[in-house]
Amino acid sequence: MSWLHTWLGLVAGWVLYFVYLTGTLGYLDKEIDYWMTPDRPYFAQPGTPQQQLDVAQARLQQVAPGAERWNIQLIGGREAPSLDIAWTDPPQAGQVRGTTHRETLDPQAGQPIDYSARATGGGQVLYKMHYQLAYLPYDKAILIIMVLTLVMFAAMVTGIIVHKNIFKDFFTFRPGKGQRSWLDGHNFLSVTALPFHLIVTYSGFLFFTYQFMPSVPNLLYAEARSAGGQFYQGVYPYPQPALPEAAHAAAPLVPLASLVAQVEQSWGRGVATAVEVHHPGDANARVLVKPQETVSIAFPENSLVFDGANGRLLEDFRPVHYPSATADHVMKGLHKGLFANWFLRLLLLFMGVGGTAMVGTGLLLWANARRTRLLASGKPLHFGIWLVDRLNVGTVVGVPVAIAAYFWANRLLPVGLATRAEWEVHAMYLTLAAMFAWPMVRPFEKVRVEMLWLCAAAWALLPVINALTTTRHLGHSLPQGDWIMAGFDLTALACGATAAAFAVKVRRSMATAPVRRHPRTAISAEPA
Amino acid sequence: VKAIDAAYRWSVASRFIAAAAGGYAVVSLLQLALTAVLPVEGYKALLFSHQTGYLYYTGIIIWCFAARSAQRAWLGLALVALPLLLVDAWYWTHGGLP
Repeated sequence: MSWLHTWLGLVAGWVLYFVYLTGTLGYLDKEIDYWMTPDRPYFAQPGTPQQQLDVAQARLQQVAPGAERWNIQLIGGREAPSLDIAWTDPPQAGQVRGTTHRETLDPQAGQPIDYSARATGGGQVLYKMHYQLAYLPYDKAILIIMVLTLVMFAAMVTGIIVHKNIFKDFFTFRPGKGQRSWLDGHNFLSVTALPFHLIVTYSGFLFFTYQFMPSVPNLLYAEARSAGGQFYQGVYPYPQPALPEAAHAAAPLVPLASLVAQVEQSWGRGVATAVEVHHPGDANARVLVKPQETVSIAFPENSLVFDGANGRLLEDFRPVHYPSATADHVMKGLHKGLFANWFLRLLLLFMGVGGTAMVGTGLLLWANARRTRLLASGKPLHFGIWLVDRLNVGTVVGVPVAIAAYFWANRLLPVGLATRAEWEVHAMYLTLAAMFAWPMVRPFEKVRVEMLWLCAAAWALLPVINALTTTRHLGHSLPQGDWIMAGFDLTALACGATAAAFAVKVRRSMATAPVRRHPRTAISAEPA
Repeated sequence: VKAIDAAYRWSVASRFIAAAAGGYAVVSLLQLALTAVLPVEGYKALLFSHQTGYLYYTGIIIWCFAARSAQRAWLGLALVALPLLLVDAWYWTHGGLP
């Protein structure tokens, strides 16, 4: 069983390290979006929901009185750091749905703010890499990820079987003992957040069950034009409130701000975050008010439905799902973590980083254990270990450096460059390629320390780059209380400090341990 | 230390194929069988069988590598697959769609 755990871990480890880290950054996707769009201003005083709704309604009435739908996202919660509006035109002849336009408004002046010149993929593109990877067709990437997820889940279950002393491992850490310390660390990271690891892995499957195992739905829905579509429609019915067609009789829309009192009576203050108006200005107008994502784990599509013409509350819509669909929503909700307030989000973040470290320490252990065994038995170190060592350092240190490069590119690429968002991604993968190539051509014991120092610099300098290229640096964000912007910069500094600490530690362990070279392959080795 | 000879490598390869391909086939058979026998509407059973599919798959992978020999791993798969095949064949000929 130990054999199976070890090999499953190695086979999947390199990609899973990437998946765990970019997936963990998904818990901060909107915060990263915010840092990567520094031209979107910070509003210290966004005003009450009523004031924001007045501003949004006035603007929408002016630019899109005949739209089919309006969407308003209020400032508050994680959903939007600014007042965002969107409107959808009625569909043109031959179209299924009309074009959607978006604007961000100054909540005081009501003027649109254009920050589109600094085009960016933001936190969205970054976190989606944890299941779409990059430069691969979507279907292929999903299949790769699903296979690796299965390997990881099996590695976790076999890992639990291997460690019979789960409770003891929880309290065991013996530092400074080489291989033993790494194993303690690997066990500790795995065991402390075990429920988290099991749930994110298993729930990861649930997003793509059809893509991975389509045979039964394909068989059962063989008559249908699209078996996948039928499967999704069949098993995931998404109940929506029934809304009437437009009456094509004009009736002025009630002031949206006047609905806030009724919403707060139902849900309490500060819960509502989004407002959707169907057929504004029509006698059959409907206003849907939606709650923040934090209201529940499964994030059901709850909404309050108002009559847009007279402001009466028509329906408190709460969709009901059958049990396995509810289980599905809860598991996916746990995976996405949208429900988490800042404290839970911090815990999720720590567990995600812990999971990344679990995979990372597992990879290093694989190589260390084999190197030690071969040296002890006096056998030569073969090419396999040479390669695994280099892929390990390329992954464990290289992926964080590549992510930093993604952020560097966001600040350094010329504003207005047409393919700016694409080049952010190119910068990330060119850096990653360099991080894999570097250890192949440099002496291994030197390159580990050099890469760690590069990682430290790449992260620690991000706040400096931010200060040099924008006006949103720590000197501004801290006094203003702009905690998302400041939090990113401070986290980057902390990441840099952590990498520097590792660099010092690896350097020191090399200074004390005699470096043994194998005459033929010239591979360094530290005794465990 | 076990000697790593050709027979050992063939045994690992055989277990691997049993776990990956055999596992995939058995889980698919099981999903259809669950859809057939669970006393709820077809699409509900289908979702349940899909949600739990990876649990069975993981169990099969572990079985294939824990079994005393590669032959026993395959034998175990066959023993599970046979009744599932019968249930699936019955369901298919009696044509129940969700």
